[in-house]
Amino acid sequence: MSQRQQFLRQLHQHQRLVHSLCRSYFANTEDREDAFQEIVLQLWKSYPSFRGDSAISTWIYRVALHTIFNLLKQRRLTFATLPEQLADTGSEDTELLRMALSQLNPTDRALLILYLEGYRYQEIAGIREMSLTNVSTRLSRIRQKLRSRFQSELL
Amino acid sequence: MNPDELKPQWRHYTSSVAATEERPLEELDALLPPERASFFMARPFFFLKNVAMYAFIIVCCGGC
Repeated sequence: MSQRQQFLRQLHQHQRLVHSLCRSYFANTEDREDAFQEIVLQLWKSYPSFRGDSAISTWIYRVALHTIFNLLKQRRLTFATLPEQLADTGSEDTELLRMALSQLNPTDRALLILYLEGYRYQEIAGIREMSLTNVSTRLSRIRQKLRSRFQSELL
Repeated sequence: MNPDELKPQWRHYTSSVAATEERPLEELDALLPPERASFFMARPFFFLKNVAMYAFIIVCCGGC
């Protein structure tokens, strides 16, 4: 199997991660498509340097988030303050999640997403190239922020 | 609210996104730059011309 075929097979298997990030960060369809294409290209470019030290999903998250932050920095794409609703709207299932994400800036949003994916603090620090203390402090602040925001709404 | 409460929602969110946006292998392949053919395949005449030239030089020099 060629390197290209191997890459495509793994990307196909894990594309859910990339789509979910694009949905969480970009408001309109064109921006999401641009971001998806750019992420796939960056993944392909850096694939030869992926040595399997981490899980492929961890590596995909690292490259995808790095690309998203670059796109936001270049102001080529618009950050979705409130992530777009899913096609199966009406379900309140994801409403709280969208509201929670809308409270967070791009950096904190990435941390929360990684946390929700089940990554440990140490792994999150590795993916985002941050110190463990920084990740721990930020996640603690996120927790407080969400707690106070949603408690005040309930009162 | 505890972020852990959001975990099932995130799972639902990602699986719903995947269900609507997942692309087949061919579509993903189209996003990659075209595969470069190997040098010999990409420039066969250049390759053959050089082979012929070097063979000619070797034969000529062999007579010297």
